[in-house]
Amino acid sequence: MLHKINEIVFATDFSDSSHAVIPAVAQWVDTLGAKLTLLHVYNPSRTMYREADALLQSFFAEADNYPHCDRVLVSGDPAEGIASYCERRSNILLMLPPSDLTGLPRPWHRSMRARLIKRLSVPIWTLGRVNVGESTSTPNRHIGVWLGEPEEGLSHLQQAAQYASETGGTLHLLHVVDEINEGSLIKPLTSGGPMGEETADAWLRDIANTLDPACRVEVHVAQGRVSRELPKLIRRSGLNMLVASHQSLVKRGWLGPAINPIFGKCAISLVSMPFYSRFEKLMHEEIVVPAA
Amino acid sequence: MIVREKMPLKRIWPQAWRRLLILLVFDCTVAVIYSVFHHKWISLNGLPIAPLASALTIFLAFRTNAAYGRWWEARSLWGALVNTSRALARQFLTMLDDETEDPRRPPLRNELVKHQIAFAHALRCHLRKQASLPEMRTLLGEEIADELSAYKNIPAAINLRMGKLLRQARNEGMLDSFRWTAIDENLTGLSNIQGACERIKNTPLPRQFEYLPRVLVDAFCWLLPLCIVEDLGLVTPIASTLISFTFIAADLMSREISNPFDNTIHDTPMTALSRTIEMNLREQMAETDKDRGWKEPVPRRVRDVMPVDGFVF
Repeated sequence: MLHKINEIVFATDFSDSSHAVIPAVAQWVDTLGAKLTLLHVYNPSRTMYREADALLQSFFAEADNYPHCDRVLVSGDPAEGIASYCERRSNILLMLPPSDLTGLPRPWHRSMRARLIKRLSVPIWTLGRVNVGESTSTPNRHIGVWLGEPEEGLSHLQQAAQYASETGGTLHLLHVVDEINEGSLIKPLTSGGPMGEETADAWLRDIANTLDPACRVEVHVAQGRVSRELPKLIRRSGLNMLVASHQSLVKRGWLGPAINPIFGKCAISLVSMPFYSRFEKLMHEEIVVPAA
Repeated sequence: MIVREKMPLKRIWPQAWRRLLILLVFDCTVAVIYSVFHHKWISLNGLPIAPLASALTIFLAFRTNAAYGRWWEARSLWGALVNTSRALARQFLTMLDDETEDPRRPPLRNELVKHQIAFAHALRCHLRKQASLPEMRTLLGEEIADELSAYKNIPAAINLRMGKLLRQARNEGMLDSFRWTAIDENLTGLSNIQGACERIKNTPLPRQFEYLPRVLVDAFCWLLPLCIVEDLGLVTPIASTLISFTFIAADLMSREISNPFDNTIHDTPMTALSRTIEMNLREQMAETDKDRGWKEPVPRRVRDVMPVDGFVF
């Protein structure tokens, strides 16, 4: 799916985060040779069309020099506007920068990214957090794939593997085994995930064996709290990009879907991949059937 | 670059809130211990806080000056790039004898001007660590962009290509040695501007300048409530937090402007300046083409860059 992308939709609200991710957008345009669409959804009761259009025309002005660049202005609710625009298109990558840091608690905040990830079945690029001033445009040579629970599916892995093969990158399979405590007894009832480091390592190696032999694969397993261990694994493996499934990136919160906090500290590119039943069937045949 | 009149507090707050919140809790604790529980020993009224503040101000002013120096030098270098680009374009458009040139191919003078435009855009991308090849494909064509993709330093490669095009012009009898020397001086000027920008980008402020003012500001902010609690009592947290905020904001501001090529709101407005260069040079080129009877197959139309929400990039 990633390698077939012919349009990159960069949804912007002209925030500092939107400006900070411009180098990453340029990197994707260069890598995929795709058309770039800058999408802004404005509130007509607050901003006039003319003002919004002037802002959009001046935002990321250098994109005018790209071979194919469109600027699209839509009015209405931002989440609804972005979703309906993306639903009308195929083979797109949606780029959604995170909100600016406010430094204030936001108890009633509803994550637009999480709502869009939950609703749309297109790949979505984002960041856990933006460090304004730090470059986010490193080439995607080391591609990590987060494998949380087996129930989340493996279609994101298949797509990441295809992308790694085509770009000549290295694929890193990441898994963190939960700490052993009193609650560990409940886990086998809800998930078929591995319970120990050796089992997890074997599980990941089985999966790696089903992938394209031309693709370089490395396996990284740790045990402990995921929020603490995942940043360490990312640092240790030198990842430039982490691919996760839509299900693992979004969790249910009090006020609706929210971005999973375990990815909140990731300052590298996060690509959320939708569930594709075609890939799931393929992986099932390759892993489960021979094992049986 | 910020062009709006007011700097909203919300831009400083995200970086300052954690330090201020911890200080506020400490200030309240000190005020309560002194005023409610009457532990008078906590007061350090005898400590000469005013001279300490003066010394700290000197430190901060020194660092702010150094940071501003970097910011202003970056802006001056881009100003010099605008001037050099205009001068080079004038030389390309007026100094090349194109009577002997093949009328079927695009004029060499226009190719050189387009390379000059591409140089400004490539330098901007190079300094912001942004991929410049998508832009080069539009500005110079697929073939040249593919050739440039082999280089790590694309602006330097474009400068080299301009030198090669000039040699071609000389070989074809369009340029004599005197004029070549004059143009070459400006090309060297471009290399110098690029080198100076890279120096600013790759050499941070000395770490002592970064670290020491921060430690001293923190020390001052922690000592402040202890020194004023005897006079202000329960009002101490308000006064102390306000004074602390002043010092912390000064510390943060000077740190932010010290990196003028980082794609932030404090940047040198390289997008706007490179667009200005492109507009100016295309105007000059169109005027010359009109005089010489040449028509560009696909003329490019470029717009001016306007500030977005009071910030111009």
